[in-house]
Amino acid sequence: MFKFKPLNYQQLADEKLIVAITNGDSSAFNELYKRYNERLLYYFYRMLWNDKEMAQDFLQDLFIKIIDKPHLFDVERKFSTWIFSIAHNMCKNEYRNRVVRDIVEKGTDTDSIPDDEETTNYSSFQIKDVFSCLNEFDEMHRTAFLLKYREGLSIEEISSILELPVGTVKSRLFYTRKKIQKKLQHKIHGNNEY
Amino acid sequence: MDNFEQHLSNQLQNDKLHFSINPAIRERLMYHMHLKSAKSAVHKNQILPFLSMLFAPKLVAWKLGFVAILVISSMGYNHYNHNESTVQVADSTHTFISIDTLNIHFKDTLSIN
Repeated sequence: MFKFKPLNYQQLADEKLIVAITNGDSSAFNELYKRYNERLLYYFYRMLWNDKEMAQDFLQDLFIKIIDKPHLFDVERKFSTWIFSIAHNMCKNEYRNRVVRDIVEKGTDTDSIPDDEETTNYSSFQIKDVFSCLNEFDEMHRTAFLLKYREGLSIEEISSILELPVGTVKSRLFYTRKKIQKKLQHKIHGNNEY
Repeated sequence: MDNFEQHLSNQLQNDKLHFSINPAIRERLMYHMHLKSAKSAVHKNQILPFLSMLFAPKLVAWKLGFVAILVISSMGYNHYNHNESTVQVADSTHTFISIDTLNIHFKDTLSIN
């Protein structure tokens, strides 16, 4: 006899889940939240001057956007690309607002980077230095860097998120990497292993 | 990916935040989602979209065709399911009873021989 099997949301692709959310499926939303909340929190935290309150507010706002307007998702696109492009646009707006409010001082804002004890689990000294260097770049460079090395997205996906040509993304990543590498080399007590 | 890139990637991927997400955020989001989903369910139960679709000029030929098929099939149904019987009550009276599965009609006729 035919029996209805309960839907296993864990096996569904992100794209299927967002379609289910469009139809008002709360369990699909729960699953999608589980998959992305930590990744996005990390992204917001690193993009928004390591401010954990702001990162959490942005995370909540982003998921509210998804609940309110899931139909805006283009089924032809990959979901992760879509969600990170929303996150990127939110950060971009925040940067713009900060500039307007004249809160951010021009140049490096390394004072806002917490100490090692606060940003726990640094497996080595480089991470703090990496983010210290990264704060010298604009939000486009930072986003590209995080999406590439933290999220492991392809150049094409990053180019779609940032709405930039592939070549530009490549050159920005190269430039950021080289600059960070140079700065780190100075800190590694003359050890030029990289 | 060169050695430095690989190392950088590993470092970033192993980096963890020192705080976890406030559980109230998830609760608020789930509440918002439930509200949205309830609203969506109410919307689905409304008859107005169905009626507007029914009477909209869009696909009018298909709708008319469908109605015509329904009418024709119901006419055929009536035609083949009539049970007629004739009861002679008197010499001068002829009673005609038509029995239908749905409706029962009594037709009385008077015939003069």
